[in-house]
Amino acid sequence: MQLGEITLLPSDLIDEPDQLGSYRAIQEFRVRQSQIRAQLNQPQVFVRYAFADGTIGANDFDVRGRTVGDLPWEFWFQIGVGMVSLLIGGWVISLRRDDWGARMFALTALFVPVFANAAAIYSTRQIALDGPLFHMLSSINAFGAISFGIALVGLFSQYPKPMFRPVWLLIPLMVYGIAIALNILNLPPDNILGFAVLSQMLVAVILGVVQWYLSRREPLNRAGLRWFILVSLVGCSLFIALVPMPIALGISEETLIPQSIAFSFFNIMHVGLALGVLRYKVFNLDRWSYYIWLWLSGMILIIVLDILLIRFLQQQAWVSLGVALLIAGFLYFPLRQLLLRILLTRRSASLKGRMADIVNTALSPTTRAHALRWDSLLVDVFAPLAPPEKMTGDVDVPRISENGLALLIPGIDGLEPRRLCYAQKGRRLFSPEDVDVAANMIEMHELAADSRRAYERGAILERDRISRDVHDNIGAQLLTALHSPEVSRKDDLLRDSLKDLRAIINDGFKAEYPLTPMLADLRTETVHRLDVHGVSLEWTAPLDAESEEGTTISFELVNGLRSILREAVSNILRHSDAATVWVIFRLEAGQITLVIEDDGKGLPEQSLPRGGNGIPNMMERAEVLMGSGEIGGRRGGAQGTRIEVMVPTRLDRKRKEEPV
Amino acid sequence: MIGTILILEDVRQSREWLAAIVEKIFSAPRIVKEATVRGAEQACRDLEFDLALVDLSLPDGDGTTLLRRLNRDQPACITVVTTVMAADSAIVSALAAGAQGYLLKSEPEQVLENQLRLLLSGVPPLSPQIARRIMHHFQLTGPNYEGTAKLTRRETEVLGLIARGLRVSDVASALGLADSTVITHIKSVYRKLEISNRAEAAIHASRLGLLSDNGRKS
Repeated sequence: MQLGEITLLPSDLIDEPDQLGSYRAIQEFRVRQSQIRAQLNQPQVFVRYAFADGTIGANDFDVRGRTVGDLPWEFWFQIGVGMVSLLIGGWVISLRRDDWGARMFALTALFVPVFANAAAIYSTRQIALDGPLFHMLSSINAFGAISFGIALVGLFSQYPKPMFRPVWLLIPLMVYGIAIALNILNLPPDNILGFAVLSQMLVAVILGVVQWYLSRREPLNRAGLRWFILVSLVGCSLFIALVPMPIALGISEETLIPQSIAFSFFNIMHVGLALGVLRYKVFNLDRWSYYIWLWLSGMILIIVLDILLIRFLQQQAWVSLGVALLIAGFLYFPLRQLLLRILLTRRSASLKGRMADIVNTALSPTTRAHALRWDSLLVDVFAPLAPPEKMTGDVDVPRISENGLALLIPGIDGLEPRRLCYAQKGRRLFSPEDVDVAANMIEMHELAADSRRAYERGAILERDRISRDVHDNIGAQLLTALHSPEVSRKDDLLRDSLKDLRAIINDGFKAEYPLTPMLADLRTETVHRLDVHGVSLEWTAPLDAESEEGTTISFELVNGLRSILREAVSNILRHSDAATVWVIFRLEAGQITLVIEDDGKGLPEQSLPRGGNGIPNMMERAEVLMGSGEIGGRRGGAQGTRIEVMVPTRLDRKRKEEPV
Repeated sequence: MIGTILILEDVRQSREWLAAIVEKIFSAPRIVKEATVRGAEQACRDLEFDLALVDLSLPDGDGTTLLRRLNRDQPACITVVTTVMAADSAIVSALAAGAQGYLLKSEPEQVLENQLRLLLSGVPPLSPQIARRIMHHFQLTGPNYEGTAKLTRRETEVLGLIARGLRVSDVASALGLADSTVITHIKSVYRKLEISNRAEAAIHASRLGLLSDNGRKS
């Protein structure tokens, strides 16, 4: 193609003259641009052109100035990239005005439109621009690019931790300021722009590594940094790897993708960086940054493989891409899956297999043991760097504090709230999953503690009842023994107390006792006592079979009947010289009748009271049981004594103390 | 016949009281009085006893251990549980561990003396409470054991009547048997209690893998 006198060369149409290498080549390029522009500045231009099939055409064309509508989309794209970057930079600096990291970040954002807008003009030029204008735009582009690099270096030196005072940033400013000047003056033999940008990238990476090391004990910073390095280095590296590097390393004659499009990588970087600098829920992004790292590394692997394969397979670009995809697919993606599992699965706390520990904690016998077990459970589950701290304030639900550095656990069951610092020995931040785990843990603990409390309440009720019963029965018996003047009666009462205690041990206090075994026990007891003295016993308990099975009588009634029988037998043994004793139990119409007869001496003429307190005691017992008693001679004039006691099986009176 | 007697009892007054009772029953016996399980075990290593009165709850352990040991090492020795507060279930396990009888120390001296005499003449004591416990024991464990450890119908009848407060002679007349037959049944119940106890131990042991199949057969 020929414009007037000038034959157009492929290099005349290049997007970015910096790709030409030496300043001499760039200067020649600009001279030719001026010449072509001069042709185009005429009203008409003569054009000769050749088609691919070899036919040649020639014609005069009117030169028409460019209108807004003629501007290609690449132009607007680059302007757009600059605008987006500017907006994000403004947003960040408005939120964190005093932070040197944020300031540096805003500067990087500010310089994107500087280089992108300048490049937008010349990269979409209409064939040629005037040489001096082109020089000026190139200089603005270089100034923007190197300044961006200075700001990037500054950013990594100040974020997340300032590594030195900001005044030291003057050094890179000076060094790269000189580089800008040299570039504008085109003084060195070779174009230094690429070198400057690469070296800045390298310094930024080194600073990033140092920051990474410095943040090893600060999970929050590290999480921020992880995200930060991810987006910034990936954004810049992608640009460098796809645009200047292939040409610089001689892999390719031209950029892998147009520079105008590659500028958008800086937008990725800025959006991501904005989130990192603001620490906007970094802990939630934390996991995502892993995924993105892995996705991107897969993509980069494909591109790198593709580039390498292109070198061997020469022109067969599609074959090399296919091979690259295959290799990545079979090697990288399974590997990535494995990495994901290793990196991500162990990261959150789990309650698996902790149920026994939780129940054990809830059932701790003392507050001290409870606190110890609870703390050790928290340590087991969350592996905090420091032992759990007791807190004074109120925490009602588990929640994350200090952006994930700490987890606050509510006070459970009388224990103070706990503050856990640095999850997993400081290797990660607390996440919403941890909050869920803590909530579950507390819920399970509450459940176990509730059952314990219910059990304790029951135990206290039961203890109260037992102590009341012991007081009412054993206590009363012992007191009677204490105040009894006769030694033998004292012994009897003490034995009775022991027997009652045994009954309590065997059966516990019950409100109701089955009638049949109670009668059996009374029978045996009476037999033993009488046997020793050679007195025989005739025992009749003609209870009808139906009412006998399953009939129960109250504790008071058992006690009262036993006392009456014991007392009567004691009296017989002491005073009557009887040879036989008859005991009859009858159960009729809700009434128990107990008859005790002997064939002894009978009651003396002057009658009551005989045998110390025995008889009044028996009568009193019967009255307490809402019954009645009768004492006299045997019927039919036979010698001996007859005692008859009648008591109702159901006592309607209320107990002295109502159950609590 | 009864020459050497062991009394294991931690309360000194009760120990002396029991000693006085056995001295009254037997002529010039040699009485070894111990207050701890350990002391009693030492005594068992040194002496052969004819009679041992063993309390169940002792400061250094459970008298049942000594009962088991005596049953194994000195089978000729008559072992008797003497207790005041032990639960019926504890007494039943002591009987299952080989004790030939039990006495309640809260009984008057004459009652205790009578029961001891009866026991030595071969009538095992059986109160309604203990009879009920034993029935309960066999109800719980019944299906698990071989026929040798199961109660016969007659034995169950005897137990049932005793549980209702009947004496041996009452049981005998109620069932139309001789007193001695009833006593034989009672002894048999005692023995089966012991067998069931051993069977239970064997089942536990085989569950724990302590016994091989050969071991169980022998």
